[in-house]
Amino acid sequence: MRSFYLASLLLMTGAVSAQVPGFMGKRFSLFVDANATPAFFIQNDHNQVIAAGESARTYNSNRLAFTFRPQVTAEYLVGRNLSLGFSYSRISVGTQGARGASTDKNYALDDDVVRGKSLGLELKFFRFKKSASIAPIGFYRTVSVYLTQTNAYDNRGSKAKLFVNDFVYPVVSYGMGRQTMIAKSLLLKTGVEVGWAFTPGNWLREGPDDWNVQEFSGYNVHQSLAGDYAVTLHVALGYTLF
Amino acid sequence: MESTFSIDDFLASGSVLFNDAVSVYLDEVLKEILKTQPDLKKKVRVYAVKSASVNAFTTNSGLIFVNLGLLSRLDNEAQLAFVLSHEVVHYQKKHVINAYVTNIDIEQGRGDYRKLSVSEKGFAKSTYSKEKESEADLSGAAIYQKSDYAKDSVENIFDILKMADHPLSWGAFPKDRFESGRYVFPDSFTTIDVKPFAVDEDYDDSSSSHPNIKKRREAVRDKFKGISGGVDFRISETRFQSIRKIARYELCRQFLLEHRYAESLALATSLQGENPGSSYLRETVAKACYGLARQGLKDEVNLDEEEWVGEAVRIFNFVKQQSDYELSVLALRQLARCQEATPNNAEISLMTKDLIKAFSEKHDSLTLNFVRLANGQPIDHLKYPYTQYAFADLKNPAAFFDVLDKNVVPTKKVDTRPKTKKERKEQRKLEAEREKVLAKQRRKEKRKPLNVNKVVVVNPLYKKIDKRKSQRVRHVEAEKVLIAIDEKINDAAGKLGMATEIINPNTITNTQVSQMQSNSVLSDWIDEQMRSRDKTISPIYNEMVALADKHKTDHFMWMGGISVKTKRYLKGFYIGTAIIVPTLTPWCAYYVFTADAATLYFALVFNVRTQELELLDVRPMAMKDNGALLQSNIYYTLFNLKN
Repeated sequence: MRSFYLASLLLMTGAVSAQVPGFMGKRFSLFVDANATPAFFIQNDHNQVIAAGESARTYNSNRLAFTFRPQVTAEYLVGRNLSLGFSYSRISVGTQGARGASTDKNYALDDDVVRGKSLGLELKFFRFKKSASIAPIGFYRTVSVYLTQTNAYDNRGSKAKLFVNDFVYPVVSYGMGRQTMIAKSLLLKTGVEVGWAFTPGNWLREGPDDWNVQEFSGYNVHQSLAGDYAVTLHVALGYTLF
Repeated sequence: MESTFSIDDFLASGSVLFNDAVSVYLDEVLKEILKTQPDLKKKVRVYAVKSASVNAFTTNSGLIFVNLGLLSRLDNEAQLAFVLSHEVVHYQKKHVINAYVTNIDIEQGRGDYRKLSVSEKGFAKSTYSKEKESEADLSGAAIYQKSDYAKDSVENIFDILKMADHPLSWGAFPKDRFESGRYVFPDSFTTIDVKPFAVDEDYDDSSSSHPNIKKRREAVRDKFKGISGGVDFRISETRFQSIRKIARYELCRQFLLEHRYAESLALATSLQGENPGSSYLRETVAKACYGLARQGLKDEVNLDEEEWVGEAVRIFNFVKQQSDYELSVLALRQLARCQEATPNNAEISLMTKDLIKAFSEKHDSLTLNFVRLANGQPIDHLKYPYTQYAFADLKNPAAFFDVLDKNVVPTKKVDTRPKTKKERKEQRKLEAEREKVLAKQRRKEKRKPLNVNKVVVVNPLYKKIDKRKSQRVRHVEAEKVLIAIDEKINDAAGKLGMATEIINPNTITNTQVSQMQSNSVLSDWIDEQMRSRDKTISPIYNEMVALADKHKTDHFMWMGGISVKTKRYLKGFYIGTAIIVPTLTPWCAYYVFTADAATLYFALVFNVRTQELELLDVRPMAMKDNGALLQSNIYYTLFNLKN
């Protein structure tokens, strides 16, 4: 099956090559993306607590803080205004304890770290006709699908998974932004992406009092994952290789 | 600095003649009048300009430009000497730079110009300019008086200036030169009362840059009172006549390029009086008639009756009295006669075919409207009966009629009988199917690769404008882009395996005379193309084909870009947003600290042999320009040419 997909991709790119200029003929770009998610959507003071102790904990949200999800994306222009991208990213977010909530369950005060990875497939449509330039420079819109694989850990450095089976959820997203070339072949991508993680939505309707310790920890994973993909600001550096 | 860059642009435009016979002669006359002031002579240079406008002008850097339009009207070298004396004063007294500064003061309402209304500002500028022109006249007269040129020749220069807006022609209009055999125009075409010249010298000059002719004439007359002597020619009368002849012949071409066909016709027919066998003049007349006929077929012949006075009014009447049908026949006849003289002239051949096509699109049954043999029987019921004989007395009428028959657009047969509902439905269906086939053909045509392997890039243009700054046009930054643009074009072409030649006046050196000549012809051609609303055959088609042969490609590209930066508004809104939603701080900071920018890239690629615009690449981009963006766009244009 893998060979089939590879052959299809090669056939597709070969068939459309006549209409694809790229940058000086280069159609393959590699991006390193910070993927900043505003802490506004996902509060992450847990890691500070692990590192500096309880005194570091603050319930005053730092709305300027960001959570990062480093990502590497390989993109290939398959048409004059369409590129196909494959991405790999590392997920590492803290979960939010139930402090301040009316619960008498001790475990509800516990925070975890959700760690894992995701693989993504991205279709990027360059807005060639409307106020754009020649891809890979110009304004774009993206439609992406990610497959995330995560688990919960006590802290950032811990290797012991809290769940036997990893959480595997798909995410779909829509993004827009622009790419400029700040030096020859060096691209700067800026944009925003909104996504939806297909996790169970219990955390939207229920509270810590409804859950046992496993459920509490699991739903925290769901909540963190959804928050991590809800709104992402893209700031990426790319290089057109060939 | 702005004026320096504007002068550079002008020098690179291809209109200025460097080191040619005319400019060399002008410089010798300048040297003659400044022979007592060698230091001043070292600071000024004079060049001829290919322009029909009756004018001469000076820059603050000491460059004097004399238009061929003025040169072609002068009677002698002495008059040229006075013109140059006048222009030298503009430089000597720094009139150009002072006028520039004063005009800014007036515009911005500084000092004495405070509280002026718009019309008062216009008046103030005009008054200041007139003062400087009067000063140049009087001080120029002082320089001139020191020379050995005839003192009584000066006043005639004002007669020439007085006639500046009128077409240049002399002698009686030779209507019979366009006739032969039974092809004879109605008398009404040229029988007209010729009114004497009656140009008012004392016109209202309140909004003019110069005082009126009467004031200038009287002031200069006073200056020369009691002074006489001198000669009309100091360098050489023969050379003056030769230079003026060059100017007049070139002017015929300029008029054609500017689509001033009647003026070209008037001047060429006047020159034919002196040189009836000239093939250049014969072709100029044919091309002028072709231009008038094409304009006539579109009802676009636009002549200002007031400009045509004296004997020239006969030419005006000759053109104005003819219908588009008659003008087309006249033009075809002139073209046919040229073709007989030079059978391989591609330009004339294309004009003939093009005119037949346009003519037959408007007038049906064209092939039946002409007598084909010298002794052929007359055709009845024609609206313009005399036109049927236009081609009968050609040396080889059969050859002309062969071209006519092959290029006539078939008359559309219109079925006027009433149709049934079923027939109408059937017809609509057929039309829809036809349209579908045509659309498919168009798509196929569009997709057809151009397969261009070599392109000549002509005079790349780049402008940077920053509306936030007082000096909005950023000449220095734009020039940097232009100097580096050759490398970008070559890089892109190299990647695509294309060959390029770049005619970039910004990088041309004095030794590249051939490049400068190419640039001049190409500038003339593209200017002419831009004037044409419809595709017509260029009057310098043959020159362009010669260039295509020289550069070994038919494809010439005009390209460039314009980048504009403007101030962003609503900065307070972005600052407020960042305070309320700190998460958005990076986004807000970007908007607060950067300018709003837009860039326009364009490229036009013509096949000069077919005169088709084969590629039009115009892209407005809502982004700041940079080297990579320009590089990317150049590559894309060349990519489209290659694929």
